[in-house]
Amino acid sequence: MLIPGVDPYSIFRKRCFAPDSGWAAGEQWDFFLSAYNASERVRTVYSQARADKKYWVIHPEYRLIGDALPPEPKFEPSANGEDEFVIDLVNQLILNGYDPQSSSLCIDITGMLRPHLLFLVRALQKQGVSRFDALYSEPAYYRQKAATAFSAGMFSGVRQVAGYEGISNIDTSSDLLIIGMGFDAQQTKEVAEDKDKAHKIQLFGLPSLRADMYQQSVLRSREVADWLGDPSFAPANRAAAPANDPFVTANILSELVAEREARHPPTNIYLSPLGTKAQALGFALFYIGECVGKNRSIIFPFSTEYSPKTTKGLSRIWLYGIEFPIFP
Amino acid sequence: MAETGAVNPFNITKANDLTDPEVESLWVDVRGEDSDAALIASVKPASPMPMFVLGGKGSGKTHLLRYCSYTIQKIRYAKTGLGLLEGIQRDRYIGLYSQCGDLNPGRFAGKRQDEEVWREVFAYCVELWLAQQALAVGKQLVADAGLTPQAERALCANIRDLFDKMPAQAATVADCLIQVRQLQRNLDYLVGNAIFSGELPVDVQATRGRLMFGIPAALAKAIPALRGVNFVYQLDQFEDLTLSQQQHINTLVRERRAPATFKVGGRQFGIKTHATFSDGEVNLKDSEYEELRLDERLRNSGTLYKELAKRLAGRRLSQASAGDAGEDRANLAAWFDQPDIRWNSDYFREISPEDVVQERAHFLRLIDQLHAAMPVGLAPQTRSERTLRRIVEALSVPDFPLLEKVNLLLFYQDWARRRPLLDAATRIACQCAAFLAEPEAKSQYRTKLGHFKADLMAQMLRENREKQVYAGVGTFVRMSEGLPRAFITLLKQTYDWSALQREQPFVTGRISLEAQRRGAIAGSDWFYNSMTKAGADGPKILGAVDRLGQLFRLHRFSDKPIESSLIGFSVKERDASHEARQILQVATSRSFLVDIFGGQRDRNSADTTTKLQLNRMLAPRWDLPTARRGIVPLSSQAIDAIFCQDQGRAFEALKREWDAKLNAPFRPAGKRSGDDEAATRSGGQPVFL
Repeated sequence: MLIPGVDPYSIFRKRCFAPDSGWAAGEQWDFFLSAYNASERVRTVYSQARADKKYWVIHPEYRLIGDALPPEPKFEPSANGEDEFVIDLVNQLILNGYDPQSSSLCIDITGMLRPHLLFLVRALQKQGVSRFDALYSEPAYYRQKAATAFSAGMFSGVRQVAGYEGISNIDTSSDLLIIGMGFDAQQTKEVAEDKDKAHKIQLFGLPSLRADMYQQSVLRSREVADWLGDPSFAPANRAAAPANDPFVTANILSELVAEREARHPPTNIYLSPLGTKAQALGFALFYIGECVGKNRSIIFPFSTEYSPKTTKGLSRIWLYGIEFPIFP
Repeated sequence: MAETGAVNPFNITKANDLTDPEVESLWVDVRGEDSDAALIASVKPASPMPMFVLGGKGSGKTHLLRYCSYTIQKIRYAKTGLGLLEGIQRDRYIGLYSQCGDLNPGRFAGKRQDEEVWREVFAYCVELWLAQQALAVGKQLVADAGLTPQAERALCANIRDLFDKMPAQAATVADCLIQVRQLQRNLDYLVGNAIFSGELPVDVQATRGRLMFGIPAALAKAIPALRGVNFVYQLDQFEDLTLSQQQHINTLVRERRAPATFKVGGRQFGIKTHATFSDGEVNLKDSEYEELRLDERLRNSGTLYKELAKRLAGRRLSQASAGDAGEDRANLAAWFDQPDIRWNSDYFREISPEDVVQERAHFLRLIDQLHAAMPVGLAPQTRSERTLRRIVEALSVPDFPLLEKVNLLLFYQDWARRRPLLDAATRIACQCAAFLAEPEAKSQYRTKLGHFKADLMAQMLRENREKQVYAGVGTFVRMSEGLPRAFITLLKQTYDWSALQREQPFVTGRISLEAQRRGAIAGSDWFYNSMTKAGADGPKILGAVDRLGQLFRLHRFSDKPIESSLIGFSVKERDASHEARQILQVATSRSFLVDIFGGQRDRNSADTTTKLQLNRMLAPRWDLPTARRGIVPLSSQAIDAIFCQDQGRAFEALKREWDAKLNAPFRPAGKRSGDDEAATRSGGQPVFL
């Protein structure tokens, strides 16, 4: 239940560790999942995490095959689309002993593709999972700073993410699109163009993971200012949420939407998480908490391929405790 | 007029970013002597015949369709003091505008369901969607018509009869709308939940077309004022639909029933099919639908597009200045600084100011070339420094550097023909003297000057490290190639650069050449980066266009450009490879290349060839002209080298070949490198050479 004046997502627990703090000694799960890519931070965390069963998740979009794949146990769902991929994944997890009602689970979301991450959270909620941990490791820096492109292949189009498809209002006269801003200007452009006539709010990661990342993100947004319908970079079109905090992100989204609803209810609301995975998790929580069954959807610019190595180093590790239902 | 620091009146470039009142107030049309030339007439808003309104991004489709939509119709009626039904009776149509993307068409796929299931679910969704459009307008029409409660109930009963599974009896059209909206909500929920439930138990309550065609008929029956009025479903952004979804819309277009009809807006490349689900029939142009190619129409309309563009700009300025004299078209051109490019203008002396002609950049280059060519026998009958000096002296015209460039062009042409160089220079000096004596007299020299002036000026600017000139409202109109959004973008960028340079655009003084140049470059970058859409073809198009631009640049800045203002080429498409043909086609459909109406005859045969040009919005990327004169016929091998991504080596060989043929010492075929010879043998040379 939403209580006026109280940040609804502030009840969730988050902890932060230094990579060399021996953090893993205090944590133990039945199952640990991590999407494999070539980033150092993903492999380091996987090796440190303690769980009875640890599995890599292999996203075909990273185009890693043969020797490029890790030797450890892995799930390689072959299904297309985030929904069928994740359902295959959860089924394989269950076949390997995972009990949604009783097993403890930690998911390193760092390497997971955003639509898959979003649907996984929704699928776990629908499975009746009452709690799981999400882990996110911050990079030391992005390899090409503001020029880092995460989507490497062809865009295959913008669409709603499975599990986050709201009611479609035929009146589209005052649609709202909130974009979680990242570094990939092309992704931003695709989303903005798809919901061309929606009023757009850019939600930047601030504080950002590293000092200069906010500025870099703003620079990229200026490249697509035309598509964002924001040629003069008006403050009213901007908002900020910490890049490493899904709960504050969810709070900010909740406030933004509530404020809009109170002032002039949007005909449709679209959310597009293009920032960090931690923010994407925040989008998922906000949606599950406040948007299901309404004229609100999460949309994403899908790509056929993603770059498997966009970062260097590992600076901090975050552990987020997710509990369902979000509002008991 | 706006003060400096005021909002750029050209800031909003997309119709989607305009509010309804702005769509109405910023609308401009052209009216030639023939009223059919008007844009509004071209879309035939009241015609019962369906129409596809096609055009590149920014061609004005959305603005045009929105202007014909019910919301804007109402604004117009209010402005002119007409009542709702009164206005509709006059217009004889009601535009029900929506964008295909609003349906979120991507959700009708996957989720462990068959394609066949999705086809039916999508069809039902469209049915409910359009029914709501008709009912939402119907609700207001009923109120305006003052229908009695009994009459409205009877209307609702008729609407209820359209359902296969009848909903509860509604008393008002507003209730009918709520009922259909609820059906839509249920459907949305089932679609979203299908991945979790594994099933899609949709209860289709209305047969395809019953509601969307039946509701307008019921309204027309209930409200006499609507007789003879067409309900036009305006479906914009058709490209957002999948092939199967487009096929469904095509089916509706084919099976439409009066008084409902369709206008479908989309980009040329977005039309995936005209097939229908009606026994596999394909809709035929001018039989089942008409087609309006908006940018093509504007591009080919010549003066009408110029007029439209100037009115567009004038309206923006007028709006920004609250009714000032912004629409004064004569004044619009006066805001833009332009150089005086008459041959005897001081402008050319300013570009090339050296008093000692031998020190001018074009002569320094010539001297270097002769020095390099003489020892190896490539400078016909020129062996001594003395001859060299006499050549330079003959070609020089100290007061008029542009004429020196004409002389050099003629000289290089003679050099390429292996004519004795001193004789050539002497003859050219005579031609030049004759021209100077009587500049208005017809002569080959005067024709050459007229044709090549823009290219020679561009060469002078480059040789003297000056920036190229893209200036004047006429240039911007030409560059925009029938795309109003491109024109507005050029003005927007120019305005921003002008303001940045502390000028007062459209307030006082003129917009500088530098601001215009930067505006043109920024507009060009916008075009280059925005005209591709997600998909595999984007990089291939950009790669091909880059190669084409490089070739045209090489040609323009060569010693002996063959064609003046070259940005066009012709090709016998049937001889090119499949890949090259495909990229040519998509580059054209996405406006990177522009089809030059009518094609042209190959110089050496009677075969009709396709004639295309690089979109002039791209010209500043490669310092190319914005006017087009020459056309180069390209062989199928050259087309493959340019348009096939994996033909990088062939393209490099083609460039070397052009370079050797267009630049002194015009090395004969036998003296070129092995690679270039291979390119020549393979047909990779420009045919026109």
